[in-house]
Amino acid sequence: MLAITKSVALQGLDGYIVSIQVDISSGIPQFEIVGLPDASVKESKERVKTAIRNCQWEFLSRKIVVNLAPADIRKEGSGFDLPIAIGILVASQGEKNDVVQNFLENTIIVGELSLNGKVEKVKGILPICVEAQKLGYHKIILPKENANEVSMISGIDIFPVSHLEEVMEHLNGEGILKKLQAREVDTKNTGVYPFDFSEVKGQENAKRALEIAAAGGHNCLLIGSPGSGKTMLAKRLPSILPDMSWDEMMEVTKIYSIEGYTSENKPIIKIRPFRSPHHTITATSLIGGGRIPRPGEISLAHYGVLFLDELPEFPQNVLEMLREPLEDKVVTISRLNASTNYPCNFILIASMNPCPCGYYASKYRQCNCRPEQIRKYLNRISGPLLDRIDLYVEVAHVEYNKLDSKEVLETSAKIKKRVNKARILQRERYQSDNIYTNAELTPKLLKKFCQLDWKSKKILETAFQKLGLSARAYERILKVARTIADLDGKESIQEMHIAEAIQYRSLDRKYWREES
Amino acid sequence: MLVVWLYGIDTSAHQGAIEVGGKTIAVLGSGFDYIFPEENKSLYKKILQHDGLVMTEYSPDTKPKSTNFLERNRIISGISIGVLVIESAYRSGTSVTARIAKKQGKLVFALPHEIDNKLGIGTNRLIQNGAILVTKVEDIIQQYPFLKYDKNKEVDILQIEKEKKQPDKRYCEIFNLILEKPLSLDEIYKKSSKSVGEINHILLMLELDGYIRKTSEGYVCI
Repeated sequence: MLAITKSVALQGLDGYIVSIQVDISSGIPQFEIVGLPDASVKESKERVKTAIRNCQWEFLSRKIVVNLAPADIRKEGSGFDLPIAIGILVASQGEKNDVVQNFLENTIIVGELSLNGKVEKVKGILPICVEAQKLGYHKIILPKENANEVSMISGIDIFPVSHLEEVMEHLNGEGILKKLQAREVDTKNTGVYPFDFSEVKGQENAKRALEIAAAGGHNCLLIGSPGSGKTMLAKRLPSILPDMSWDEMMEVTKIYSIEGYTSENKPIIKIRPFRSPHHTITATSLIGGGRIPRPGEISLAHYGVLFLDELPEFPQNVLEMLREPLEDKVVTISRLNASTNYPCNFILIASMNPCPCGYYASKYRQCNCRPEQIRKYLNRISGPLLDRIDLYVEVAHVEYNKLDSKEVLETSAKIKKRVNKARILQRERYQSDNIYTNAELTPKLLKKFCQLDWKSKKILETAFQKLGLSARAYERILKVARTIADLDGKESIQEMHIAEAIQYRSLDRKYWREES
Repeated sequence: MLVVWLYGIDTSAHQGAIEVGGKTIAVLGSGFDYIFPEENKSLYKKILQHDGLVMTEYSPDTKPKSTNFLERNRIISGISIGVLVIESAYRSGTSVTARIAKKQGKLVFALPHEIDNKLGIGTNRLIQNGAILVTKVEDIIQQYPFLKYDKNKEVDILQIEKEKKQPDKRYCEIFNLILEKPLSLDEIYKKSSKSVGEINHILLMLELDGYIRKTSEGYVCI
């Protein structure tokens, strides 16, 4: 007897239909799964067998063959347990009626089985559900524990189940599965971020730079001596990041769903992610990878912030990997079996000391590095990577009396308001250009949206001559100036915007590169 | 010209001497097989090309050692007619050299520094102890009647100050702050009523117009 059930497997964020064909025939009793099953899929044999027996059904001592088609793509995960078990049960019942056949043909089934027949939750349920709907399916059976994570999806009937028996009763006409009531998800960010910019005394320049970075999605490098507050500043960046749109939330949640970071209580990611991997990170875990490619830190930071503390300490080969993702906002991971795309549109915030000892240009302690050492240290960050950073900010030590002062400082909420406003301006401007932020501007769009008046042009020209800016600074300055103008609520880029933008290119200047 | 063979001020001094066509002697604290730091090798060649001299008391296979450098200092002062100390911290090799020079009966010169400058503690102390305070080349030349010297035109600093133009009115508030003493951006922010964006704008304009310069200490007037 043959029975076919349908499920969805993921390749990156994209899904494809897996048709699970179960055949029971006479012969030496055996149970075989074919179609490139991974270890976790192979093990489902034992779970399925035991679950069926423990539910007081007979597990036929016949030759049982399960094929996962398409058979040339490697499959992993425990989500196939349920469709395999149902396939076997249906096949062993013999003749099927049309209703059952029709139901199985048009329903996606996903779920892991425990030995007593209970249906356990699986990873990646959100992309699975979205993809099922995209692929033209209107019904999906999934674990009850996952139900909360997909309740906001419309256009597909969701049947949450908690036990194998529920599905069989439905198929046998002894009971009816209850459809999940679609409901709006509260997208308001109610959580309170534990850090606030009002706790940072002094560092007005760095705060301003981070505000610009948040508003325009610019990458930013903080340079300063140890203890000057680089990490403290970066940690507070999420508190001023703009609110996420619904589409952004869904995209981020999909990635987190694959990694199993979503749960019943936290069905959707409402806050922009902030990832700060340690500098011992490997290339694979930063970029993504593995035999069956999984998202790396850069994808987990999608629409959020990737913070690399002590940038020169990261292995150079790992840093160089960031080049294409920073440019393309998407990373393609190719492995023997498949190549997978993961989005990675993140803001890179990095911090570093100005020299090996850390006290170059510090007022409070003498630097005892040789000029060559300093140059070598700075050169650990390659030109192409620096090319992709829009803002360089020097973070100076704060004097003790300033740390102690009681002046009231601007709160993150206030800064965030300005950032949100600037983001809305950008979203409206780039509606038809398929980008969200100024940082994503292509050279062609740059020409269209970043026109300069003659005064600004003059300043830029003089600055290039007198400050010895490198040529690569040009586009970056325009983009940053655009964001500053947006923060200012101005339609066109003015003299003062361009002047401020130039000030954030200190690493390009002679002061760092040649004289040092 | 005779300079300590390490890095920093001495390298600059060698280069300065070569640039104006002077001759210079470098004394190493190690053997010729171990030039330290490595980067100075090119300078060492240049000195020789310009009829200079590179010397050491150590055999070629002697590795650089900090004690060697201190020992070497006695040679430096010994072959010199005088020692000018530019910068010297509270405890440093330079002050040792100065002491030896004095013992050898050489003249010791020193640049004065602000009293809270860490790198000026040594030089100020030298001056207190009788070193000759130097503010211009003549201060040194006068001590050696046998030196021939074409006197440069006297520079009237006050006159230059007067002739300097005032920056644009809009930038004056901030320019005057920096005029008092070098300030970082955050310090300027604290003292003025302007936003960081505006200050950044003004600072750039002042810098482009040649009124101020960005240094490791912050923004300073020129």
